Order: sequence, then C-alpha cells, then structure tokens
Amino acid sequence: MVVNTFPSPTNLDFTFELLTASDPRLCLLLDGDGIIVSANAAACRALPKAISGMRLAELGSDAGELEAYLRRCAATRSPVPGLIHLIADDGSVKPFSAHGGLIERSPGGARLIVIRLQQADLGKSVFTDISHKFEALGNELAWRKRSERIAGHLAAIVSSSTDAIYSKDLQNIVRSWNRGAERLFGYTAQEIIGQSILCLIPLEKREEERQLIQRLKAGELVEPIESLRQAKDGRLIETSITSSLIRNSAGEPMGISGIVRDITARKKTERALQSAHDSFRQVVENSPFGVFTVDADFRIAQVSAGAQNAFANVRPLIGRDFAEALRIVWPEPAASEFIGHFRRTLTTGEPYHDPTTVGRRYDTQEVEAYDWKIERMILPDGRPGVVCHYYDLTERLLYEAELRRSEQRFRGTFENASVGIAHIGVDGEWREFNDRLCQILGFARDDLSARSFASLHTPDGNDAHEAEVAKLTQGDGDSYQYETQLARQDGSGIWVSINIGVQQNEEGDPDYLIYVLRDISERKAAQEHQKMLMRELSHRSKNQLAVIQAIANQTLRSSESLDGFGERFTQRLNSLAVSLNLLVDGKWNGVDLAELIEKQLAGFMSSDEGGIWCEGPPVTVSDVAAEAIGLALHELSTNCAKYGAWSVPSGSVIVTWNIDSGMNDELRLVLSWVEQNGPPVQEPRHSGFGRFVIEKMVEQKLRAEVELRYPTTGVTWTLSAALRSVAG
Amino acid sequence: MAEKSLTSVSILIVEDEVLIALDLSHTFRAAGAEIVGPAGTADDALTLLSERQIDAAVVDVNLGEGDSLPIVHALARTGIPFLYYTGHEAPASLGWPRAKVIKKPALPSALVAAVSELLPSSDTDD
Repeated sequence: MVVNTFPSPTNLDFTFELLTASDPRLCLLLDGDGIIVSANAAACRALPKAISGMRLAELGSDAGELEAYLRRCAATRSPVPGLIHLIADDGSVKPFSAHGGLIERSPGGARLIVIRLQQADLGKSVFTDISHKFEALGNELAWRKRSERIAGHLAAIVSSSTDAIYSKDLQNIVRSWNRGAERLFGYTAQEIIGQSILCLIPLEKREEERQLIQRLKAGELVEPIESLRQAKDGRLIETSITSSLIRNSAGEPMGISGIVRDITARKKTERALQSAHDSFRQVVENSPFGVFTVDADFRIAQVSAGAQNAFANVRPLIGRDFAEALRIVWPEPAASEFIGHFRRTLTTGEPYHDPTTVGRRYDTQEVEAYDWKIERMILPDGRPGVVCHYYDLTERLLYEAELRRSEQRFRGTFENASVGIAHIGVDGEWREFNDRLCQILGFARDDLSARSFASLHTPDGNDAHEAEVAKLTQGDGDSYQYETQLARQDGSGIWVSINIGVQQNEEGDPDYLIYVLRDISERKAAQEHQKMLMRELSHRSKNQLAVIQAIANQTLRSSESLDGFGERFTQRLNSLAVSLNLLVDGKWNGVDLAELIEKQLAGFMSSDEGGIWCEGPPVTVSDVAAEAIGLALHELSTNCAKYGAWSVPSGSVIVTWNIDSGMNDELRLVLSWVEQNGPPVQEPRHSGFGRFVIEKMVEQKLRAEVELRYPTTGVTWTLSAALRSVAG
Repeated sequence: MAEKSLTSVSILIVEDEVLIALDLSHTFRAAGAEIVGPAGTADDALTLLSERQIDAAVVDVNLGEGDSLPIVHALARTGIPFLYYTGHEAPASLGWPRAKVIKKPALPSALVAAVSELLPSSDTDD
C-alpha cells in the first residue's frame, strides 16, 4: 500500500460496518436526509432493497410514519424506540421495532442516524403461535384421553364397543373375536378364531407380548400397555391394550382376554405437542436476542443463547427460582421491582414493557441498559408462564460511543492532516475532502464540490494516469501514485504528488478511492532551480575557461619573460578565483562589496593596517559585477604596489562607495579608489591589459562610467554604474 | 597559414564577455583580419551591420540579459556567413538559423580556420 501515511480507513461507515457486521439485528446508517449510507449484513439480507443511496422512507409502507420517526431520532441523542413498517422482499409489510439515535460525524458536524431494527413480531409471533398450539394440542389431548376413558367404560356395557375385544388360550389361539376387533384389524371372527393371534403382533413386539403373558400368569395385575398391532392389510396401528388372565372354575389360568383401543389419533396429537415443545425450546435457546421463560412455579425454565450473558453468574440456571436469580444479578430495590412485574404478569396476564431500564448490576458492577418486555404464555409444560424478551442497549450505547470516538479520531486526522485528502467514488464523484485539499488547490469548498477531480488535471500527459486510476476503480490493483500539475482556481498550476488507495466494500469490490495529495511545488521549484543551476554552471564554466584563455593570451602579449608571465597570470587567475569563491559561498546570490574589496586587496596588504581605508554602506553586487570589479581592483592593486602608494611605506589607499541618486532618480553605485602619500605619479606611456581591465572592461560589462586619472598626488579611479546593473 | 587566409577580411565579433571579445579581436587581427566591433549587444551589432561592410561574423549566443537571435537573423537574411562561439550547447530551439558551432573555449587556430571555411574559396586566395 502506498498510502502508508494515511490513517487506517476508520471512517464512520467503516466503523459502522465493523461494529454491526455480525449483529443479528438490522442495522442501518442514515444521513440527515434519511438516505441509507450503510447497512449491515442482516439488513442486506432482510431488506435487499436497502442499498446505499436509497431513502429509508421508500422502503416503508407508510412514508409519513418513517419520516416522523426519523425526525424524532434526529431530535435527540438518546435512543428513540418506535415501530415502523417496512416492505419485505416478498412484498409483505412487516412491523419492525426500531431503536434510532443521532450521532454526529464530529462535534457539531454532519448528523447521522443509526437505526437498529428487529422484526417486531418475530419473537412474539413465534411464541404466540407456539403457545396457541400448546393450548390447542393440550385441549385435544385432554379430550382424547377423556374419550378413551369414556369408551372404556362403555365397552363393559355395550358389546358393540368401538374397542376390539378378543380372548385367546395360552397357546395364543384366538377363541373369541368381537365386532370391534373385526373393524380394527380387518379379520372376521370366522377367519381368525382358531388361528394364532401372533398374526396381529409385529415381530419386534412378540417378546413384549411373551413377557406380558408371563406376568399375567404369575398373577400380576398389568396396566394397559401402548403397543403396535398389525391389521390384516398390513397397516400398523397404535393401540392401547388392556390384558387380563382368564381362569377356569378351579382358578387355573386358561386364557387371556384383551381389549384393544385404537390410539393413533391421540398419539399424533401427542407427537405434535412434543414437536411444538421442541421447536419452542429451539426458538428460545437459539435466539440471538435475549429471551427467557419463567414457569408457573416462578422458576427459570428456558434461557436463549442471547440471554446467557445476562445470567452468566447464576449457576445452576435452569430450574432456579427466578426471584433468587434476579437478586444475584440486580441490587435492591431494582430486583424486587423486576420480580413484582414478573409476578403481576404471571398472575394477571397483563404484559409489561420498559424501553429503557438502566442500572448498575449487583454481580458485575457494570452499568447495563435494557429494553425489555414480558408477556404471559402457555409454556411447553401446558401451564402459564412468563416470556421475557429484551434488547441489550448497553452494547449499543457502547458501540455508539465507540463509533463517536472513532469518528472523532478520524475527523481529527482527516481535517487536521497536513496533506489533502479526498474520498472519491468509483463513479468519480466526491464523497468528501478535507480543508487542506481546498487550500492546496486554492478552491473554495463549494467551488471544488462543483467540479470533478479529473477536471483539475491538465489535458496533456495525464492519459496514462487516468488509465491506471480506471484500473483501480475496476478492482485491478490497490494503489497508484503519480505526480502531476493540477489547475488551481486562479488558473495557475500546482505540482502535487498523488497517492491513491482503494477502499473496498463488503463484497471486496472497490467502493471509493482515497486520494492523498501533497503540495510538491517547492520541491519541483527546487528541482527546476537545480536544473537551471546545472545548465548555468556548465555555460559559466565554459565561458570562464574562455575568459581565462583570454587573460592568458593577453598576459602573454604584455610579458617580457615566461617567469613574468607565470607570476602575472597566476595573480590574475587568483583574483578570478577570489571572486568566484565569494560567489559560491553566497550560493550565486551575489557578493557583499565590502567583502569583495577586502578579499581582493588582502594579497597586497602587509600586516600594517594603515595602508587602506574602506568605507561604504552594505551593497550586494551581482556575479558579473563581482568578477569585473574584482579584476579591476586586482589590477589597481597590482599597479599600486608596483608604482603607486603601496610602493612606499607611507602610502595608503582610500576606497569608498556610496549609493547616489543620479539622473532620473536612478540609483547609482559610485565606487572610488584614491591613492595618497605615494610617490609622485606619471601617466603611463602605453596602456596595457591592466588598463583595459580597469577602464574598458568595467565600462562595458557594467555599462558604467569609469574615470581613471593620474594626478601627481596619486591615482584616482571612479566607477559609477546604475545600481540595477551591478546589484546582486 | 591562418594569418594569410583572413587577410583583409572584415569580421564582426558579437560577444558580451569583454575579455573574450578582446582576445578574439587579437586572434583575428593577428590572422590579418579587420575587426568590426566587438559588439556586446544585438542592438550594437545591428548598428555595425548597417554601417560597415562585413565578410563574416563570430557570434556568441547569450548576450548578458538578451541573446543574439536578432543579429543572426539579420546575418542570415543578408547572406553574411557566421558561426556561433558559445559555452552553451548548440542553439537548439526553433527559429535559430543553422550555422557552425564552435564551443568555448577553442584554440585561436581552430577559430581562424573555422572562419576561413565560411568564406568563398575565391576570396581566400590572396
């Protein structure tokens, strides 16, 4: 990732996604206009239409209801409970209990609403359905048992009993067979009397039958058993069989009588009830939200997975007295208050709902907050109990606080970054950008919003970058970096380095690009300057060589011997070097005139300080002027030392300079060299290279006026040049 | 040999670096040439061009704050042969008339030879 200086992409959306990803509730993040900004996985599943950019109200069956609810949410930070109706994927309208609350992107910043939805009737409807089923099945079961009993009584009286009645001898041969038996088993009396009864008994039940006969023979009184019997057509019938021993007059066992009742219908009812129990248990126990039941004896009957945490310190839990359990978890008087509500609902059937119970727990000393509701229902044991379902608001309060903190951290980084940061959608639209970006690009925020980032690029030379960025938006690659010149609002260009990272959405597709822009105009300017210097240096050094060549040639012309040439040439070269050194020290930004004079004259001065007097205001002269004036001073000094003031101990030179107002108010530098107390002066007979330098060279190079005089008292030299043609 | 070849040839020197100009003057004068200038600016050079008869020119590219473009254009227009004597690389930009480039610094003999090559051979036989 190239964008390594950018903080991890903890923006609000991201944090929201992180915190709600595994939340079973439907979590939506909305902006101030009720537009969905983000939705968690549960919300995406339940409301496939709840996509970003959609107005929540459009998902509802009653837009007015939703808008009113959102207004309530936007008005307060505390969670607002409410009931809203949304259209599910299958087109049905489902009620949702909602908890919405306001959060802000930053203190006083953009307002967002976090809403958690739970299908309002989810818990309740499942319980109610099952509870109704218990009731119906319980009633049916009671009715059937009663019917069976009544039928049994009647059998003794009425021979046309619906029950099958038969007798068999000890060898299992059927001896009697009533009409009921004919109907139940399909065998006529004629068919079966004299045959073995074993044809009625499935193989796996024969051992059971054998043991039963043993017990009867032993004189035991045997309770009715429930077993399977086979009809003539092969059908298995669930039956209740009452068997008794038949004795002869001597009291010896001679056979067995059986009354067989068809209990298929009752068994079916029982199984339905059992499966209802099972599904109830499953619904409760696997419920991701908090559900628990308290039975008619006020004992904890069932606890959902989602409610385990709340009772973590109550062990054993199932079967525990609920009042006792609550007193472990909550301090007084809260515990007693809760117990009171449960008892009242259990007794009266009146439901109770508290949307915000906040308190410090007794066992953990943590502050927790719940939205809870209790209702009376028939429990699997067939008796009334209390079902409590609740949402743990604590977790939500915590994550909302975390959300705010994280968002503030992000905001802080985003807004105070020294780099420009922008989030740009794969469609090229701005998501957001920080103030620093506006500064770098010289745009007012609104003006920048109105343009696309791409439009800030210059038309030339950015095609390659555009193609690379397009790849990123298509999921090819995760970062890109380039340097380019962007157009500022005032039309000027600014050099920036651009680092682009990709923020992916839940599916791993590019969601938006994170641009980090650095102003590199200074660096670019420095690079340009450097290039210019290199070019300049190359040119200058070649020119300098040509100048040295010229000096060498000229020195040679006026030299009488090779030794004389060597000395003069070296001295002149030295003078050039002195000026050059000063220029290099000053990074080619000019040379201080006083320093130039001091350095150029230094070689000619003895330790005696009396030979020179320098005075003038601070003036910085250009490279060209430094070289020309430096060479001229060198030639003047050479002559002075050879023939002038410095050729005698008493002589001295006064060098003064000033900035004068000349014609047309043009500032001029006037530099003068006056020798005094030297030997009497005579004008030289011929003018050599030295004089050319002092007069012509300076005149031409600096467009100066130069006056060289030879009064007997001492040489005077005055240079007057426009300040702008000599200043550095 | 070089002295012979430039006898009575008038050479315009356009060079802002006074010492180099001085040296060039000496070099060509020693080769028998007559020096026009030296001119330190294009304006000065144009003035000389209008007033004097010139057979060839040696022109620096950079002239202080300006350059020699006006004068080389004038030279090219009037058909006067010239060469660039410069510390820069060859003037690469569009708009600069093509001409031989002698890079600074150069031997006096090389400069004299280069200028004599600019001249029509009939004129150099003397």
